[in-house]
Amino acid sequence: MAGEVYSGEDFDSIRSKGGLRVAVYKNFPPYSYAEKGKIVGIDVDIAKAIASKLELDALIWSVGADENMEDDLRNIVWKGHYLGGGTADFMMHVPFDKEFAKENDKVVIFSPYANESVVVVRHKARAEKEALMQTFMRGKIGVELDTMPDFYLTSSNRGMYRNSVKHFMTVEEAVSAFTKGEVQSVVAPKAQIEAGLGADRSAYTFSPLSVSGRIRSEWSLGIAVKEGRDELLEAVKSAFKELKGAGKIEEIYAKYSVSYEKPLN
Amino acid sequence: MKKTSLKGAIISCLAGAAIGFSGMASAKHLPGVSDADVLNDATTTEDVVSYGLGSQGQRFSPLDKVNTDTVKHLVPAWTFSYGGEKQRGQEAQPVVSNGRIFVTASYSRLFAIDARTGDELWEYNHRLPDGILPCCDVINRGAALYGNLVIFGTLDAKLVALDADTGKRVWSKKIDDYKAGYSFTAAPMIVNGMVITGVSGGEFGIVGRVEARDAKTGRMLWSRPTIEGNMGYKYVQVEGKKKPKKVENGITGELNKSWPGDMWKHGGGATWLGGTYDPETNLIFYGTGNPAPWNAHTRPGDNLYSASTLALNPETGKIVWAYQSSPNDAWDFDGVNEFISFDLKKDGKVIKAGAKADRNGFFYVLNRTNGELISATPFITKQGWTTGVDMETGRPIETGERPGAPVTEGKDHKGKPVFAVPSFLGGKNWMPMAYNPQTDLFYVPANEWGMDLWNEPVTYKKGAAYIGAGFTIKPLYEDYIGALRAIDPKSGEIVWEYKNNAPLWGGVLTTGGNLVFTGTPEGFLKAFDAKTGEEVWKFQTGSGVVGCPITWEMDGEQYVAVPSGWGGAVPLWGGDVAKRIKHLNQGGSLWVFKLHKM
Repeated sequence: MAGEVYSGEDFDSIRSKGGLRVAVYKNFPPYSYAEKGKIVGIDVDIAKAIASKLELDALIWSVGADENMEDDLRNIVWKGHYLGGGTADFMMHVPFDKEFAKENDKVVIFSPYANESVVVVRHKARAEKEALMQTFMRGKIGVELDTMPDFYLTSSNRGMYRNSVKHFMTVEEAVSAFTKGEVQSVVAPKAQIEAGLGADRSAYTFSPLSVSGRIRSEWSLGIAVKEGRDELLEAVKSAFKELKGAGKIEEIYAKYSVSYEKPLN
Repeated sequence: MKKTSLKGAIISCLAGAAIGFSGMASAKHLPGVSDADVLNDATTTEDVVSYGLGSQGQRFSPLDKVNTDTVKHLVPAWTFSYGGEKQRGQEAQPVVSNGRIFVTASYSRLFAIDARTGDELWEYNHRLPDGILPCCDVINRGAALYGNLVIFGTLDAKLVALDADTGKRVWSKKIDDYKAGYSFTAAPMIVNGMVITGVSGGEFGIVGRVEARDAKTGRMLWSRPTIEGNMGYKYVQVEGKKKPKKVENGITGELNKSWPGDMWKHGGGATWLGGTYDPETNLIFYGTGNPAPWNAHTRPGDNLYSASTLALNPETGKIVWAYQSSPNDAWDFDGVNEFISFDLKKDGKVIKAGAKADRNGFFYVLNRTNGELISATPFITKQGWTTGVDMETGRPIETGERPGAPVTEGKDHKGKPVFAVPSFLGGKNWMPMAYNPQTDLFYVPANEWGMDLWNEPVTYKKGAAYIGAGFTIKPLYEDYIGALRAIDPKSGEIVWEYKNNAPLWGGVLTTGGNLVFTGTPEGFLKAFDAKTGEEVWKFQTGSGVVGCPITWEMDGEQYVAVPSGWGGAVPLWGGDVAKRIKHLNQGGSLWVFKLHKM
């Protein structure tokens, strides 16, 4: 793919600032995190592979998450934060969800690249001898503070699991407490749990968390660009399509020892 | 040499810098501010050395040269521009000492200005790190003066003490980690040589606390968490050791009495506004924020001491009494507002009382020696969630109109939508009220608005499905949102009111000249007859006034000063309110007025 294919005004300005500015969340293994002074992870590798297809450098921008993704898309993709810092050319890890997309029409969300789901992890031995409800009632459940699993477990079923819930600032910390036996289960997105457990997960059982109503327990991850940047959108889309066709996405997941699930849509 | 690039100021991670000007070559060491100066601030008219014009926070000055007769001759003496591109909300109260004004500005800036001429003496630009995410604009509410130090908090959660003569940094202490969402925007308070602060920001995962440091050195003395179950600490100097020893000082409240599971560890109760101090009872009064998480159904119980007024002993750092205004808060009704000490003259007795106009719409009068409720009356026209306060228990009588539980109730599991009045921005927000002992009235800057509130099942946070809350703020009336109300603390009766189209967001000042001053988002500083509410003067400052006016006397003349610069939380959260404020322009300046000489 020759560079001159992408020669519009948008691409001229991208080149003049030294490459594609890509936003990823910070301290977010296995997707985007610092290791030996470098930002690595699944989202980072996918972004770099896309940039490389477009013969551009990827300038990785690690951002903190705000209270919700509407805020993040405004601050990072289409408007910029009022404190300054500019915007990203595209952002990784944006839910590919029709309803969500409709509410956020200042960005285009495209190229779903994987499925993410909230699961419960337990030791195999425990999962074989007791039902999930018993594990929840008898033991401690590790959750990340202020996440869907947190709210779900502290309020569903008339709060019967409320006193079992133990709060952690990150999934990483919850998984670490789990491996030390301080909590008997962790409820979180599967890839994050897997990253915390490491490559050998033969001693653990994963079960789905069944949630009621319209609450999502699984969703697809996609990419977002600002609405109206059509040249960039088409270029990233076609670069992603090529990568996907060549099996590059699965390859990246495998590199981080995280199981890959195809996007739902 | 002045930083003009916004990006440069935000991105660079260097320490702050003071910039001096040639005009300050004559800077000389002036007498410092003593504990006595702070204690007597309410009665000494030639300076304003504390937030609230006195530690009780009455915002009353006995000065009367500017009065209902002469105020028509009040004209600008000079104006001072903060400059740069950092024109956002200017919510500060200036302080004045030895002919110098110290005023903080948006983006953690501080200016020292010659009070007679308006010349800049020095400015301090705190270099903010990349990645700070303040919730509600980049404001600052003011500085404290002690000795030769000017002490203020920054958006990256530091407490900085500057040399009042040069603006050079003397000490700087980290209040908490800005990366975890903490910041600091309130004005610190001086109590007996200590600087008292709370914490701001960090909606999630934090527990509010009140802290005391040695004002001269910044050394920590004690820290008191606001949420039941958390341990308080004292910091004791050990001979031969540089670092003080952290000693347990008892937990706040009773573990798990009003909180389930481990939720008290992250229970909120942020102390994001300043406190007040009453020398007569030797108590520090601090308001606490809403409990966390927002969904009240996950935390059955009163969730003490969120949404409360706390009275603390300044020597021990222990809670003497607490009064909770919104138990198990479901509406984001912070209880952070200022508790102002005053003498309640009722039924022939003088009661040591205190008053607070709460976010939840009640004007509370408490006995400040023990926290007992004396009265609670609405200061806004509608309250959807309550019909009054039970005088026996001190608890609100709820109507049952609470938002539904998101996972268990409602069509589509959306939870039952509720129109809640007041909105989460409150019957009154941060802007401090004032008390005039001559009229015996409180002057409360109130707002009339409600909000549609619902639980939102399809929402995402950090790329993951989440259960959030949706809201839209709506004005209650066509012709006004803001209302400055004069309240009689004996009866709770509203004696007069002034209605304003846009929401009121600035502090109030009242004087011995029978005047009440406050600003409007439309740009005016206005003066009212303190007894009747008649508008007797106004001046257009060029941008919205959301700061706090002050007054002092210099060379035999009375001066009035107020910052101008529209911003704060309203334009960020506005909802349907946005229509009434979208034409308002930003700014950043200090206006100083005095009487025109005939």
